[in-house]
Amino acid sequence: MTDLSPLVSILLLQAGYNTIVVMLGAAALGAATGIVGVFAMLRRRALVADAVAHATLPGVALGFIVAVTLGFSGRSLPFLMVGAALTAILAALSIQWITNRTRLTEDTAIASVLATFFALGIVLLTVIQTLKTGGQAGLDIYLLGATAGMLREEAIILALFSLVVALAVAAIFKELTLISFDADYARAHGFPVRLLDLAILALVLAVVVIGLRVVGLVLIVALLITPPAAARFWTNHTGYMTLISATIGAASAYFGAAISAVSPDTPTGAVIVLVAFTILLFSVFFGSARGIVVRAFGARQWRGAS
Amino acid sequence: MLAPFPSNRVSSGIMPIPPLAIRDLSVQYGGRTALENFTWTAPERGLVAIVGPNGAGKSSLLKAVLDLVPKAGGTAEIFGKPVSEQRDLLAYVPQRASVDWDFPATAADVVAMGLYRRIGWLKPLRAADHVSAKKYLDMVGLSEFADRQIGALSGGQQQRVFLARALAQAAKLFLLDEPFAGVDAVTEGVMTRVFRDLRDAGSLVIAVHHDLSSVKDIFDTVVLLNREFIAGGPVATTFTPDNIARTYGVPLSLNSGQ
Repeated sequence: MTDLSPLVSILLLQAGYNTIVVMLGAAALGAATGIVGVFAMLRRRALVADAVAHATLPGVALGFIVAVTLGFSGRSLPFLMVGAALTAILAALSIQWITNRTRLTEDTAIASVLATFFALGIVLLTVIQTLKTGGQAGLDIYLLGATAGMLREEAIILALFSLVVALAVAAIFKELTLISFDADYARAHGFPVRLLDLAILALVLAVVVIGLRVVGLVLIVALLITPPAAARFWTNHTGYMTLISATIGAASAYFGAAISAVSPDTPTGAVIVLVAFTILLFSVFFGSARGIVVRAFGARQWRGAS
Repeated sequence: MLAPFPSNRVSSGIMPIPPLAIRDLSVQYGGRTALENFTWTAPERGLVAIVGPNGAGKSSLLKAVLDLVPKAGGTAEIFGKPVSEQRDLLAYVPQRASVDWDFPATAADVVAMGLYRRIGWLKPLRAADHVSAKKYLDMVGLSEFADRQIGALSGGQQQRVFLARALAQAAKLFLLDEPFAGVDAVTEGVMTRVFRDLRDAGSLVIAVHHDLSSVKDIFDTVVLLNREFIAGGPVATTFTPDNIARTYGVPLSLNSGQ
């Protein structure tokens, strides 16, 4: 029998200051991934996002090695994030290159790049195990995420990064919507579609790297795609969908971090993803715009009302 | 092919700048030629049908003019300048099947996209823009469907939403890819009326068209092509059985097949 009262008190922000800051930081991250995820989904970049996320592993490992070599702690976040970003960019370029320059299709390119970079990361992790520098045991939190032991400063950095990402999306919201719906039309009327696609990829990359610590690289794609997928069942409007997706992402990350606070051994990313999936499942059935229940009964009234 | 320009100059005193002038345009996809050495100068105004069999390069022609696909050779000028400098003067209606109609947007949202270019970067839609979008929807007879999700519209209504979005561009040159494909009689009537209004207001409308039987009813100018320019001019004198046979005929497709 588990006593649920600690979870309730944590959810109501009655835990220690540090726990509250970590939970709010996670919620900000969830909102940012929910927002970026809308365009990752609408522009069909979900698989690229997954590949890019997995491709951060060798970067994390290399960041660790470089940090240790230079005499820093192997777990210092800036080294790991820069390393993660670099190999993720390399993976994105590889996918682009394979798709453009060979006759292989994009899904083939994505699958092979994802597996190759992840494999390289696993090998590097094994190498690190033999280094005997200490601290290497902590690296596996970047696979599945953890908020246990997370510092207040780290959480604040996450929140600030997330705010920047959200503002960036807000600034080019019209244009992102346009290229997601009709890229040819956008191009014909002079919009820089390539640049905007690059912006989506950069935003995906940003939330993946920011989310490594909390959600982990294996599951971050779920926090990117599940909130917009769930939000789609509640609205037929990209703007509202983005707001709802941000809310679902924030709620999922908040609950996930809270449960992690109660049970520190549970990987935070896994809990967050399960919470998000529960919301998706509920939305599939009861979503007010296109949920199965609404479609079955009185679809006409709802459509008229929306 | 330079002949039309000097003769125009002589007759009118000044050289009119054609809305669209295409010279030696070629398009290739992975080594396969979709269009070869296409040359044609559009009239100043009117309704132009681009007609030819499947795979004749009609869509490729529009896309190459708009820089959506690379040109293997040749040039296309819009009002005397490259398309990249004249985006404000044109409006494009892609094929209806080219987008995902399940997209989270209403009819009014899609029409408002035609205003984005004028609204500019870093600025959100304002109340006046929503009013404006409704006005263009009204012009195609869809004002009561403004808040309808686009996937819940009929094919003809979707095509009219695309036309309304193009109208919102306030352009002088309209390029449409198969606007009459699979539409109902009401939509055909609305689009024909809108086209005529545009022509009367001095615009040029160029539409890829597949239905030979309606060319005479809707358009005043026709361009026949089958991977190369076959004929172009007023419908009355150009859309002849002889020219149609040359465009669709067996001997020709044997010649230009590979």
